[in-house]
Amino acid sequence: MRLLTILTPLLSLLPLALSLSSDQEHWAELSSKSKDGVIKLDSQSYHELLADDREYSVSVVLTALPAQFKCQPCHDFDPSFHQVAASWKRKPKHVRDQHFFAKLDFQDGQAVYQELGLTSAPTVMFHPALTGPNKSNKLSVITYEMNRNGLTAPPLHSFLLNLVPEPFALYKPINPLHYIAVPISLIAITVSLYSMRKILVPLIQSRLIWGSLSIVLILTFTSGHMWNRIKNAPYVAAGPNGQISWIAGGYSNQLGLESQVVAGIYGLLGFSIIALTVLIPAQSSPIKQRVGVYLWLGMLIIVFSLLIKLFRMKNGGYPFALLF
Amino acid sequence: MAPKAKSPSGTPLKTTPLSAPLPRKASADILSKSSLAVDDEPLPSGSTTPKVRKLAYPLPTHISPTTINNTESLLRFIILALICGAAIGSRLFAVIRFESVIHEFDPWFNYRASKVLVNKGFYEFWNWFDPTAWYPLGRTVGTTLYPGLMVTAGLIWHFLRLINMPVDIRNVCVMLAPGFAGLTAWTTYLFTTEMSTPSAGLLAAAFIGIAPGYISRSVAGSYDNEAIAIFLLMGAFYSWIKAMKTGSALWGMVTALFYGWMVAAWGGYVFITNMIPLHAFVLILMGRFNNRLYTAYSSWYVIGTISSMQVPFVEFLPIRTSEHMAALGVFGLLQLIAFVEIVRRLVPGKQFQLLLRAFVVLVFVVSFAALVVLTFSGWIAPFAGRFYSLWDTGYAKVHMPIIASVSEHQPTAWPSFFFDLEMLIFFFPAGVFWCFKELRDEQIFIIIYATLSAYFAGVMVRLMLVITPVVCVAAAIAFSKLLEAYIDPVIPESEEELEEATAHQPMSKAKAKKIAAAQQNKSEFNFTGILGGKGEKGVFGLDTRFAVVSVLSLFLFLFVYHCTWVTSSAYSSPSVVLASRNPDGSQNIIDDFREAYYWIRQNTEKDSVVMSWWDYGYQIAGMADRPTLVDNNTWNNTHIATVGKAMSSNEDAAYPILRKHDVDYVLVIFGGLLGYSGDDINKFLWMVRIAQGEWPDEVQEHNYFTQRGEYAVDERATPTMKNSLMYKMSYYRFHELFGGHPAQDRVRGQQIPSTGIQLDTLDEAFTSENWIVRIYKVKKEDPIGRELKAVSSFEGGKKLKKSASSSNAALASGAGGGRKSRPNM
Repeated sequence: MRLLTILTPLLSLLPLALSLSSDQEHWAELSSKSKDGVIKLDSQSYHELLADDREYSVSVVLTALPAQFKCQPCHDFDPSFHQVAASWKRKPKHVRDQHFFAKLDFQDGQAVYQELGLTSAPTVMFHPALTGPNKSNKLSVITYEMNRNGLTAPPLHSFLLNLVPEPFALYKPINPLHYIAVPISLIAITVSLYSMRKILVPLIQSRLIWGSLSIVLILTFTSGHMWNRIKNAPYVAAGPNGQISWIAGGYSNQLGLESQVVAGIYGLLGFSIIALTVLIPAQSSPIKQRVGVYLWLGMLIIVFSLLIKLFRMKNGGYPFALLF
Repeated sequence: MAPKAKSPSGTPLKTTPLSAPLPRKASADILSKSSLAVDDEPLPSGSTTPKVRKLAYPLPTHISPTTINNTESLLRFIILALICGAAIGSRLFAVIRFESVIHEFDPWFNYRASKVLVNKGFYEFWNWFDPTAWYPLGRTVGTTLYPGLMVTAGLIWHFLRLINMPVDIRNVCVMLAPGFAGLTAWTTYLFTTEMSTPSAGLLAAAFIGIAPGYISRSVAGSYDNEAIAIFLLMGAFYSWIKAMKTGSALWGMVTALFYGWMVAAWGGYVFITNMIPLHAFVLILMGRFNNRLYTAYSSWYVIGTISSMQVPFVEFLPIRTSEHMAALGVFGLLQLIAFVEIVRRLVPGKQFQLLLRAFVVLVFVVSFAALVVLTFSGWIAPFAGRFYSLWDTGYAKVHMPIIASVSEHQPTAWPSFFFDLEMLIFFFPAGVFWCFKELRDEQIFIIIYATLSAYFAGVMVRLMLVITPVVCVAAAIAFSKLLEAYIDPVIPESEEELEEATAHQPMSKAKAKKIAAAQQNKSEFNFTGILGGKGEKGVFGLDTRFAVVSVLSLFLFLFVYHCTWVTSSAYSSPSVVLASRNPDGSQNIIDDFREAYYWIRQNTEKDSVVMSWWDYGYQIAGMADRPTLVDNNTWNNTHIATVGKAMSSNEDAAYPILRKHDVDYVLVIFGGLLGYSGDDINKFLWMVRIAQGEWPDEVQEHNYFTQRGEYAVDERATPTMKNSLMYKMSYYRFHELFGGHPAQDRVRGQQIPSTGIQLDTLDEAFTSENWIVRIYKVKKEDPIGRELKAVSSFEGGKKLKKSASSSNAALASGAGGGRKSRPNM
């Protein structure tokens, strides 16, 4: 019933559309021939497809798949794009021919890349219809934000959902292995845990394990690990002269190694404090004890001074210093 | 000695290094006395050694224990009072430098609400509908805010009037945060005393009093929910610990009242709602369930939940959202366990007990499943986005650009931790170590609190506030243990003496001694641990004591300097009034915001609508008293996106939006002349992003970047950027300031093109002294029905033919070219 209500206006439009553009038919044919409905383009057909009088909209991915370009994101993104295209291809023919998915490889379309001034791949662009019944958009091209949305299919699908003439569902091929493997592995884990309970129960009840776990967690978090995770900080960065630097400039910026070093410093300082409080007074030889006190105290002061120095490198205006 | 030696029955004591006996009570006593410099007791109480103990330094001997106790408590009181004074004093930089002024953004709304409460009475405040906010929608303020802060300020105001001190409500609001910071120091002292010793408590109070992590939210004038929330947090935690230790329903009720107050005051109350159940749950898992826990938790949960439901903003959330389900679940679990305990006591029989245990597990599983089913069926709301984004850290970026756009919701880099906590940050893990070493019920609380808040603080800068109290407490414990070990005047028996002493004893100890000596520190420590009371722990030399204590004092001094510097340089700016230094070092006050807001107040109609980005909504409402489209409440994303769209589109697209919303004035913040980096051009991308979220086919972030992906405002800027309302309003007539020289934007460090910007639909109405605030009046439709563009070109053509028409033509061609060339970008 619902299908019919959608169909009727479209059916009435169909002959008109067909008579107007033999082009569209050509692309429709190309599209239906390919497996997932993705048309492969080159520089020339790119311009033909995106003719100014097009009545259809197009999603083009500009990518660089051949091995010599070493574009890992292109390879990661390719299946997502194909998945979305295949989902669209499941629509009835008259609907699906109002929007095409196309792919332009750098190898075939260097001219287009130059023309667009593109420096990165993959890029997805949505070109709305410029004439005909579907013409409605205010912008003449809409670029999909790859950095923000990532390389997976669902965000691309939800991006296109509002733009294509008719909403479509993202089709996911069912993987039966998944439904079998998960319960089996769950059962296996439970059984093995139960069989190892003699070893595990003392471990779970061990104060040492919980203690070290929480302290390691605290050190990890207070040294900015979550910042690295969320902002995808690189582990090290190349300095201006080509050498590798592990300290990021700026107060609200850091590198992976840097935060690990800071965690290590915190851990060392914390341990010095514990050593001074617990280990040293337990020493029953006065001489050894004296050496121990000065050793750990020296460690405490020197490492703390280094920490302050490190902080001063991050925050130029910091006025205090201890030793250095 | 009795209270310390309590080792949990459920925990096996295999981990010897951690389960060594605790420091003797005697030494703790001596520390607290000697650190207060009134000591007479060379012999620690309870020690029955026949020999006279050697002391590292002489102690007075003729003072009676009563005098010591009295002096101790007097000194404690004085020290605590001084700490409170310091806590208040260090928060007054802003008042002294500028004046008694409300800071930033949200406090302006709180202040305005407080004025309503004080002037019109409580019921008027409770039912307050504000038609001037979110024009034309309005806002039902009474049910969309946490009233605790205003009510607190109102009560204080009434109290002061009662004792004949007619203080302006503004001064109450300004001084509320420092006052409560003093109270926070006091509750932190109480809390830490429960965890460790009173001397650790005093240290913790001093730390929290001046720690920048807390000062950042509680300087004078920062009249925000957090100002009282940390006091309530620590109060609730202290009374919870007290309730759990004593098993008193009264303390449970006190916890609940603190909790209720907290719910009324701050959305962060959810932290308490989950912290207390988690603590109770961990205690149950560790086999430490007892009737005290049962009483404390039940009285807290029942009274606390009922009192929290009195807040209109919360109402039935405690039984309908996932955030509160942990508390409910633990409440049920406790009832179940208590019931089973009673039955078990009455009915012996092994099988029956097994049955009971199975029953507990079954009920737990079934109710958990019911919870899940209810959640999925939608009866219980899933986690609110704000809380969810704490776990799934990518969530906010994709789904809630408004939340993600706020700088205090960014994750925390390590320099922020050090900046806010300095040396406490590495005393913190050491303090957690001590909690693990002793592992009393209340110390488990610290451990959970520390680990959780470390995660939260790492995910969101704003939650540094939550970690600061626990860092202060844990660091104070570690610090006082360290001081304790080195101030304790008792010199232990050295190796040789010990040898002599043990010579007449059986061989086994000497043997153990040898083995231990062959190994390292750690095993020696084990050894003394095994020997217990007989193997002395302590420090021998006077020089080592002196070295350690003086280094620690140095650290403390450095900490105070650091905190003062941070407070003075980073956290004491009202951001309503700015300050800069003149070349000769004198201070230059930049008061553009208030200048502009008072201009609006005095020169515009009472009902004229002012449009600005949402950051300034509360300030406009508070200082200029005019209706605004959007404000810092951010409850309506679409409305904010509408403003974003108006700002980011060209005049043709923006004008209908402005007219449809009855906008009379548009206000932009521009820092290009002065180098004020928090201006609207720097926030512009967020406006674009938020608008794009609603209208992806009309606004696209991509178009505001140059081809090379730069965010430029100079010649390279894209046509979309140059034609956007925000750009035009910011740089309108900017180049004229430079008299023919290239116009320099001092924030972006770029040169602004000197081709004049033409505004067809807006008139410049006011620009403040340093150009920070620029206000434009929206033109009405032309009386004879022409397009406004045509009007301005007609008028321009009449006055100065050449420049106006040529710039117009340039603009037109630029726009046209832009439209054509846009597909290429």
